[in-house]
Amino acid sequence: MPISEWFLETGPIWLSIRLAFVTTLILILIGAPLAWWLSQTRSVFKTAVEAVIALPVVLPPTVLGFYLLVLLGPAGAIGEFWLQFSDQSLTFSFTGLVIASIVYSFPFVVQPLQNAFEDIGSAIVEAAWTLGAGPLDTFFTVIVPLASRGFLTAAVMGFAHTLGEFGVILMVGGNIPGETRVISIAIYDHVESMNYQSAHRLSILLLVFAFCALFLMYFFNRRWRYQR
Amino acid sequence: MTENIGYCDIQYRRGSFQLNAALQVPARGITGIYGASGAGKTSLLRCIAGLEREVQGKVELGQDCWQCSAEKIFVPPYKRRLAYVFQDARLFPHLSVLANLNYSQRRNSGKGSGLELGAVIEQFGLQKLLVRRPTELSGGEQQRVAVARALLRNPQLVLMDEPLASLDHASKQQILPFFEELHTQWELPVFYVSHSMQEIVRLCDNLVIIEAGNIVAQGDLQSVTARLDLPVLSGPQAGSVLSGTVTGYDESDNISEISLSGCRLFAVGKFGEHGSRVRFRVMASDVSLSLERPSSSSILNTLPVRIDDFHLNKAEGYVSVRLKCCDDFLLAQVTRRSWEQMGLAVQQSLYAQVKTLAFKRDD
Repeated sequence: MPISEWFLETGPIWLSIRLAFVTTLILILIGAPLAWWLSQTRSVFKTAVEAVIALPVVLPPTVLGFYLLVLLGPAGAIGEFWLQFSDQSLTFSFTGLVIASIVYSFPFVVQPLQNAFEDIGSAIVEAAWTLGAGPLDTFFTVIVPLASRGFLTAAVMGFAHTLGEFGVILMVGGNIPGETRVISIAIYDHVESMNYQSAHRLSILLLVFAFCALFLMYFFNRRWRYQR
Repeated sequence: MTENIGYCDIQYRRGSFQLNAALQVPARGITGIYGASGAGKTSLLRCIAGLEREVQGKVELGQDCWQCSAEKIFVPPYKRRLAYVFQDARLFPHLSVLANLNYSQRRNSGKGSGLELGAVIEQFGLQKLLVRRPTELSGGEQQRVAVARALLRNPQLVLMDEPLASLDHASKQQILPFFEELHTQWELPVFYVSHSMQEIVRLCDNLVIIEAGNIVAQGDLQSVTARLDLPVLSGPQAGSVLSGTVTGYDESDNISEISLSGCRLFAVGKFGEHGSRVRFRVMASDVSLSLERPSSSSILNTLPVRIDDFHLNKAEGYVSVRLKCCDDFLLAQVTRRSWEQMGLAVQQSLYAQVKTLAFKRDD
């Protein structure tokens, strides 16, 4: 198989993995503090924030993609800033895809983390405080280890969900090989051009991956149950 | 009472509940905090620890000011050098027993404590538990680890919130000796919240009574329990605390002789070695009064006493009487009718009869 053809075939796979990995990493980093805030706050904004975070679950990806396109486009608020800052367009670029994926997969990371933090409760946190551990210390030595199941679930869901996204990417990223042509787009492309064999190969790959990821997640969640 | 090293003056409101507590922190010894459930015992400890934020007032310990709302000072709980033992042990479930202890020790060593991890492990008998997870421990073992972990905080003050309440009788008996050692081994002030007078009599030197969010009495155990005006310590709860020395034991009858300040009492059972100090409670309902020394009675203990004070409980129809027995106080309850028929009055001398079986050391 010539190199170019091999790249055309496997390129979308690596791109999808790269996108999902970067997105998940960023999501965990910004999702964890937000989920912690949501689990602790009694602010009146809590419910509103929760509703906004959950929007991608119910909205059609086209609606989400449309607004992201407007926002990230060269005339949009974020897109214009980015264009001045880096001289590159956010739409139809990998960076734009990462931003879109973060929004799209946000609830799948924040919600499991929030649930895990809420399950821990304040009792064990108070115990850590009375032993001289400050808030940050407590977060990393008590809360993160006790919420490990939540982190696993959040990471798997974020990764798998990003890997499987289609509508938003089509709207924001288009179909540029090596830049925005991820697996789901490639599958669509193959079907459009009646190349069912290639579509099948990629589809079965996604199917098997999704099953394995979910299986491992449930398997470990069962093993890691701490009784309190 | 011993000297004080600090004081708290706390106002705290939660819903319709209002806590208004001013109390001294004795330099050493265990201070029992007693009151009905919902009286604010736990809230008081949480306010002292800084676990409640909406607290007004002042908390000072030694040189440190932990809270002074007038100057907007609020030291967060993790900067207050105190040990908190919760009713549920609250061990970290993801860490082994040793790691739980290390967690506390690593954050608090090097403050001139001289507190050795090894010594604490030995004192609380934790050698065999170190590699276990908290979920693999019994309730009593968990609480022992929790106390050891709290002490490794190298605290200036120990707060214990009903540490035995969730344990069964056997676990309580197993852990009480460790608490008693707190007394002798650690020169630390301890606040010990409990709703069990038995525990308090066994462990505490001082007693604080809290009622509907207010401190109604504070003082040494014997003088507070001898008060007649405290509702939580009246009725079936009334009883005086006596302490004395074991001066004899009759093996054939299984009867111990205990010497008080000036008289002797007999109690069923063996109370310890000859010469050891014991402290026990005599329930007011187990004490009856007689004008003449009874010549024949099944009751072994007849003490010459003098009426020190009395309190008429109109609604219930009985009189609570405080009796002076040498230097000790004894509480008795008699019906109002008996009180009048016998023509009793303050300063009158008479005899008190105490049921032998009333001298139970533990519950």
